[in-house]
Amino acid sequence: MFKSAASYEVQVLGVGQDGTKVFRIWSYDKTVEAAINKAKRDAVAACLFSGLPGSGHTNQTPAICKLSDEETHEAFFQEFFAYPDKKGNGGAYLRFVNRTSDEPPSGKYRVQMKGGYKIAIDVQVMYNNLRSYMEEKGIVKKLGQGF
Amino acid sequence: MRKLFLCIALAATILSVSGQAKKPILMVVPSDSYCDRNAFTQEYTAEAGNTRSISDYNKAFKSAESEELRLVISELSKIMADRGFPLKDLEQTLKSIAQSNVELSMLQSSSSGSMVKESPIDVLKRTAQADIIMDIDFSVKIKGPQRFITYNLRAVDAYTNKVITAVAGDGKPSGSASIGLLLEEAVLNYMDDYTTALQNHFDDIFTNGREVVVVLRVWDNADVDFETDFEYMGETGMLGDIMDVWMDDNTVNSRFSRVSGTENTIRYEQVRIPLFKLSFGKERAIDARGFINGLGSMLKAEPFNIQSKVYERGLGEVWLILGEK
Repeated sequence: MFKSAASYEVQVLGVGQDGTKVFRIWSYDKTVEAAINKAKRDAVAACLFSGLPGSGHTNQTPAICKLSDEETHEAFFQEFFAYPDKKGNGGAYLRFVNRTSDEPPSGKYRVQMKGGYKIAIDVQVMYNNLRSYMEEKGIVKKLGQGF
Repeated sequence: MRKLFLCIALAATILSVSGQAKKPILMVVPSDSYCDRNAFTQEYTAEAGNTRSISDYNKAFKSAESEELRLVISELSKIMADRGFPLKDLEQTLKSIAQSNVELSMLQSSSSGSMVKESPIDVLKRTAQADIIMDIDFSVKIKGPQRFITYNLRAVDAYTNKVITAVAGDGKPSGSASIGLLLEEAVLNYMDDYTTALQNHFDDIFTNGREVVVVLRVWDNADVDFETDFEYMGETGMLGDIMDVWMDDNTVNSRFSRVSGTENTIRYEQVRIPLFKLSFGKERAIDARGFINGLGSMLKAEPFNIQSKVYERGLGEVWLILGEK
């Protein structure tokens, strides 16, 4: 379910700092707060499973994982993408995503729809750290592994 | 049952310990067009009397204008090292070659004063070598008050001359960012795509074998050539055809292309060789040389009785010269 790009849209904002990706992500949920949480999780899922599209002068970014990895490592990804509980303890995905602003989305970035809100937030994903984590956990191969 | 599991675990451990294929060497090399644009070239007069120019990498690194090139190479090296694949540095390799040239010319044995033995081919081979060349080209362009970077990075297999991957494009124009920053942005913009394509290439090597070039030749004074008939596996055939049979039997999924063949030379390209071979009782990683040694051993035995010399041009190209060592 995480690899499905059907529930989110991504617009790359530019070339991020070394090892990071900066983009705008749109997500949908019942409340604004829930939609923000979902957007952060979707941002990490986009880097892992669908990759980021190119835009303007920014090149496309390939997905870190293969399409089949989610099924192969289902238990790992269920735990990795766990939403934070009331104490704020959530899956490891939270370590790799930051919002670039704490302001709640407003104006055209917060659209009320039937049954919820569609919001957009700007995020920075620690892409290199995320890939290294996946390598450490044995989900993806290190470059040139086997040599 | 427990014994079976133990055996499987032991086999897996052995494979994981010994299962390291020969690692290709990657090196960033400035493209000929970059060297030409920046006058990092050296002119020489060819045998026919016409003047030619070649890229002079020493000049490229010593020049005051090499700051941008060094910056790009440093950034690429850093990213590749982070990804677990450190690059061989061209500038340092050139320095090391110059240093070893001096040392070799002065080295003498303490007992007899003998010099180190070196053939002309040994001297020729003391050059910067890489298995995969990261060919880089970039230039700073001006558009009104803004500057931007045109960037082109290719990965080329040094033996098959095949382009493994290429990324190219224009960076975002800026009126305020320094050239260094624009260059860094250009490198970062394309590296994820580039390293993913490299990974796909390595995956292909592990699945289908390493792609190499094999050239078979005969010495001028040899008493056989590839049209000489031999009896092999109950049939009589020309040596050249028997070579095809050997390649068919020993390549991964019989994948090879005989691109040219005469009585004196046969050239095989797109030869997929296995990464490992049973040698001296153990699975060992092999390169093109290790692969062709098998053919040399076959030719040495009955009914051929042909001595041969193996000449290696790196991990991915090897010549076997028939007739003598």
